Amino acid sequence: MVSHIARKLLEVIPILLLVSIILFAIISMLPGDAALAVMGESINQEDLVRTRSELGLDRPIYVRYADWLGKVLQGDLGRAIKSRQPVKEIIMQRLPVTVELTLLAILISMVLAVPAGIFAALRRNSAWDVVNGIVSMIGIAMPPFWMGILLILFFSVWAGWLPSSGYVSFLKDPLKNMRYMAMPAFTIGFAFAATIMRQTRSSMLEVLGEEYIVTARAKGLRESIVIWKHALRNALIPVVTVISMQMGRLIGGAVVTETVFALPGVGREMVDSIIARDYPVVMALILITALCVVLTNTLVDIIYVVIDPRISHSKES
Amino acid sequence: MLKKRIAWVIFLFISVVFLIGSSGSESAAAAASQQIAINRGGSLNAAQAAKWSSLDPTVSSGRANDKFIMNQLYETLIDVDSSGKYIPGLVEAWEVKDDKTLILKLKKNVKFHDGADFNAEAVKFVLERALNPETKASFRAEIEDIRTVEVVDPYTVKLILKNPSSAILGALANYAGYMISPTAIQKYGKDIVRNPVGTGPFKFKEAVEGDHITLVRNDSYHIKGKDGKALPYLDELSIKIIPDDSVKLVNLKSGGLDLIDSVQTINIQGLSASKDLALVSTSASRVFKMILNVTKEPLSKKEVRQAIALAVDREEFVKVVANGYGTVEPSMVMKPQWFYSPSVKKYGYDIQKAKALLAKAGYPNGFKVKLSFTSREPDKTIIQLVQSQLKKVGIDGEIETYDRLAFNNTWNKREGEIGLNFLPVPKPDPYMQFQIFFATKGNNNFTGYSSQKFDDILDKSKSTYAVEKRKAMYKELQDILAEDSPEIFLFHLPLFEACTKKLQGFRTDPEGGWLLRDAWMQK
Repeated sequence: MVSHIARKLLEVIPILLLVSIILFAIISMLPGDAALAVMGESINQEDLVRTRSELGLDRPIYVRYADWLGKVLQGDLGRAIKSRQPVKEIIMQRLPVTVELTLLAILISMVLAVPAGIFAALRRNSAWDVVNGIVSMIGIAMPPFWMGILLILFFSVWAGWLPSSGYVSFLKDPLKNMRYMAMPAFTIGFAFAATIMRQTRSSMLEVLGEEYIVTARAKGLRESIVIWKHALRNALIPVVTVISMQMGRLIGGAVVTETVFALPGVGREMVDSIIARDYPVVMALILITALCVVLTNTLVDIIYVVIDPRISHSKES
Repeated sequence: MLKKRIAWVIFLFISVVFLIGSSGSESAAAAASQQIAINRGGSLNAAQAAKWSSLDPTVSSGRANDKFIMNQLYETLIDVDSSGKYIPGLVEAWEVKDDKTLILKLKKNVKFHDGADFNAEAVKFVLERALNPETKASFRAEIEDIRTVEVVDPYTVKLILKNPSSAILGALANYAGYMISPTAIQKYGKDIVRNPVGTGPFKFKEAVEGDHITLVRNDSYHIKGKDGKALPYLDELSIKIIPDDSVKLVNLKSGGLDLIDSVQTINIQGLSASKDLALVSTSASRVFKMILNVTKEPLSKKEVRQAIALAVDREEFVKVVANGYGTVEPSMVMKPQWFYSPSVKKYGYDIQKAKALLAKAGYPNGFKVKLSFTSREPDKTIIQLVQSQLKKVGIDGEIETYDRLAFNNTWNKREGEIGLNFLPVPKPDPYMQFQIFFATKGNNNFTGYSSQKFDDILDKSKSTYAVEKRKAMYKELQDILAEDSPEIFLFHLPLFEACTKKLQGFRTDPEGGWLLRDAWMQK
């Protein structure tokens, strides 16, 4: 198990390296560069040339990449080109917001979706199943942007229960933080819940048809034990897989949700930095996102073992 | 059974949300008791659409957008009142000694936020820093006429100009006039862009780049309020960046925000009818215009450009894009500006004449052309209208979408054919309003337009101080632009802001930048 995790972590290195090369090339290929962003509306040709050479943008792309990589390997992520804010500081400001948002969204979606999925499977074709199906279709079909605005209209404008935008760190004021995070997390969590609910329902249905469930029932086990112990554990494996595979989508959803609720997260900063061609920031943020996705996948591997002890990574060939 | 279950689910859902929501929710019903006496203290939550480009006015590239923040942190040497007239700012009085000498008498007892004195040495330091090409001041072209800055006494500065320049006062009333603490510039070096120190009514507290900035009251501000105590009235000011209009508006409605910028015309009616919210019309506008690359065939032919000017139905833009709130003017000069002239040559909507001109230029069946624009609203709607209107005279436009930088990059290299952009007006001095896009050496001369006659009159307008003479020159310049049509002016779209009715004393400068010095919140 330990060696498996170690190997997984080692795999991160070539993945990140490859991502960084592709990313750097894409940013360099975009028309317009950071010098133009720095100069803004009043473009004076001399100043533009001067800025370009000051930022080192007139050097060939491989030289720039090597320069950037060398510094990153020494732990220097550089500074944002326009604002001169150290990239590390940007990450420390932004990452906790998006991580909290994503974790809360997963939590909300699990709480909503897993029980709902189980009941839908147990009461297949019942009214409950139909309502569930409709709600989950709404969740999948409704864009998070619209969902967010509807929530604000209802809970902030109409009812006045929750603040419509803003952010306070959890460490500073946990209660206030939760009030700010409730709607954004629900926006993402609801859409995500729909996917998980459908996955839970279908894998539960599949498992319930398995012979060992029939055997368990034939042994005279209580129905609750059959469901919770025998069926659910097995049904959860594909659910966990779906969650891990959707990490990218979750972070993508965070971009939109952060915009609607004006949260200072990674997603918004990423979009802003791409628009400004601020490559030190874009590179760092996307690489960290990639790292999060890879680490989640590793974590999921561990969770597999916990759910289903038959899966043991140390034995695999 | 079914009903019971559904009811149960709905109950559960609502109660969960209610539990989260009810903890400590502010009583929105706290009806404001009408109070005429000024209420000191409290904070204001505002939001603007665009991210600020820098907190150092010298290298700000956002200009109009950055003013929302700049005006609170810094003050300009000269101010402009609502009619466009120059009034004292940090400069108490000024004197045009001769064509090339300008004497500035500074206000005394003004301190920067770091405690440093505002005096003649500070003015000299700030202006010389901006004049140094290494600084890459975004407005250097506007003050390049300054040869030297001399300190006459601690509160008197003498500007010696290379050429006579009536535009220099306008520059000092704009970005070049914002005074930054010299000691802070020396202390922070390049990092002054994130450590702003000015003389303004508010001091910098903290900022998350691209998300929000928090400013606090400058306790040693030099101007007194109506109650005899030092301004500003507000204790704290938070400006958030919220790019989406509907998000901004919904936050204003919920009370999460007190003030927002650039309200879309579609929302104006709803806001005017609101009980709690007020619509604020500013004196600023955006002039939407088509830019034609005069270095490329067939746009290099004057007849073709004039044909395009005749083929666009400007009233349709006002109706469709501005919901009736825009105006059609012959150029980028606004009606309230002192150099506005109603007799400037105008283009009506005349398809027959446009077709005749195209035929005369050798394109009786029209031609194919690329229409480039920046992907945002209302540009997207405008370019589609342009495309359909041009089709009627046989010009077949192919729309190309760019982001802002890519658009600038393309036009900077003069690779575009027909483009769409806007000019924020007014500029403090007409010279700036004309120079940047149309002078041969203009920084934003994307069209490649170059007219000796235009350049000569423009230069003369700058070295002339007599207002009436200048006015006649700007009329002539507008006529030349109409005749040559390197750019085709579509319509003026006024800028609106919205705020809670509790906000009192809120003003904007002529360019639409917020002035929150005298603002206060009703209880």
